[in-house]
Amino acid sequence: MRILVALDEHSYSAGIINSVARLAANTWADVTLLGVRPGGAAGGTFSMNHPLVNTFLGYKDDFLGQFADSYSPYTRQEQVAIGENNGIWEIPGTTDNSRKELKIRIRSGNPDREILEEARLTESDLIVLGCSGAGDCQWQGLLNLPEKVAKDASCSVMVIKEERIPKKIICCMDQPSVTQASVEMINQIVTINEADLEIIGLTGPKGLKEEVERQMDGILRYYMAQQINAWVKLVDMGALEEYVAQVSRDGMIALWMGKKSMLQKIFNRDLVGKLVTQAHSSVLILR
Amino acid sequence: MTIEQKTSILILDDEPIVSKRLKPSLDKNGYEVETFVRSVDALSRIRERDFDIIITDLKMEGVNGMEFLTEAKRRSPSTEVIVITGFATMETAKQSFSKGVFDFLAKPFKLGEILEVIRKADIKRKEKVAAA
Repeated sequence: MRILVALDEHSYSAGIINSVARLAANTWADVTLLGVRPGGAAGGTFSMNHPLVNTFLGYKDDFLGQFADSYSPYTRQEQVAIGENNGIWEIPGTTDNSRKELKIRIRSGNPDREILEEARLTESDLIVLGCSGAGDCQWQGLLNLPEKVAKDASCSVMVIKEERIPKKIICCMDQPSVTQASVEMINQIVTINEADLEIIGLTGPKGLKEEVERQMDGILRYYMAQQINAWVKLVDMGALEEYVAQVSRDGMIALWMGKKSMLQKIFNRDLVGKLVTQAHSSVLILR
Repeated sequence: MTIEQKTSILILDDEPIVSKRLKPSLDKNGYEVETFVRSVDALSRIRERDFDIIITDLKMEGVNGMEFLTEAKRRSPSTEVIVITGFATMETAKQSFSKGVFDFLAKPFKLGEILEVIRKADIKRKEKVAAA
């Protein structure tokens, strides 16, 4: 698994490092810590002495500090060296013979575009980012950035609101086809958190679509065969937003949002933003 | 003139989609690939012949992946084993490495990531053969 962690210089970014390290410790993921500075003249000159470098070296140390034992996948690169390629600065955090890679990358330009481009370039399976908190989900001073990334990424996205181990993963599903990658992502998140899994089927005026019901049944059987404590709950589309707000306090909300998903309509741009902004839990957008 | 033998790979995963996704790409890259969805069948196969590289899931009915890879390494220590799992934990990773696996990949992963791991495992295997 490859995890891209988008970080800025605010305390909520520092606050997600432990959660990311926990995820990486269990999945033995290659991890990129990504920073984005303003493009053009606004970004100023960049060098090893730039304050952003110090911040990110701190993040790197905090991350590696979580891996104290000899089985760490990450072998620390003691010498700090910075290189530049096509305007992207990179600091290796691990040695060449490290089992898994940790690196810092600093891009410049429009933050959401740069995050999405880095995810594409590095073939990331998951983008993780924090935000300023429930009701005010800002990232680097931009109010709708987590929402934009969640909406436009081609891989799964996790917006971490607070450092809390969820007891339950609540997955909303309304489409007959889900990707293998998204099913696997749920497996990992449930396993790591030792959480239960609630699969929500969205019903409209005509009830649950037959093909969605079949798919839900298949998915439920799959998870139960994997000894995951899973069940299905049917929720009317009109009541979904309220239900999600209610259960997000002690669980993690996951939305299956493929190309055919009605969730794209139910959680339209404003509502996805609302969920990402107002949910108390972390939010996982599955693709 | 010597003809280089193709690197042989055994894939074991109880989810058919995994082999279905991997095999065409590995075939295209010049590997000789056999796929299995039942660990008991894969176990029978490794008792018939050695493979250069084994890619195995962990959580499976019957003989689980850890038992399978233990037997594979016992029979053929030079075989490089790559673990792929949808239920990764630090403990399963530690246990896998204590059995001598080459790498541990948590699902989901992109094709490019596992191809790169296979390439590195193949290089390591060939270096060991050359040094012997």
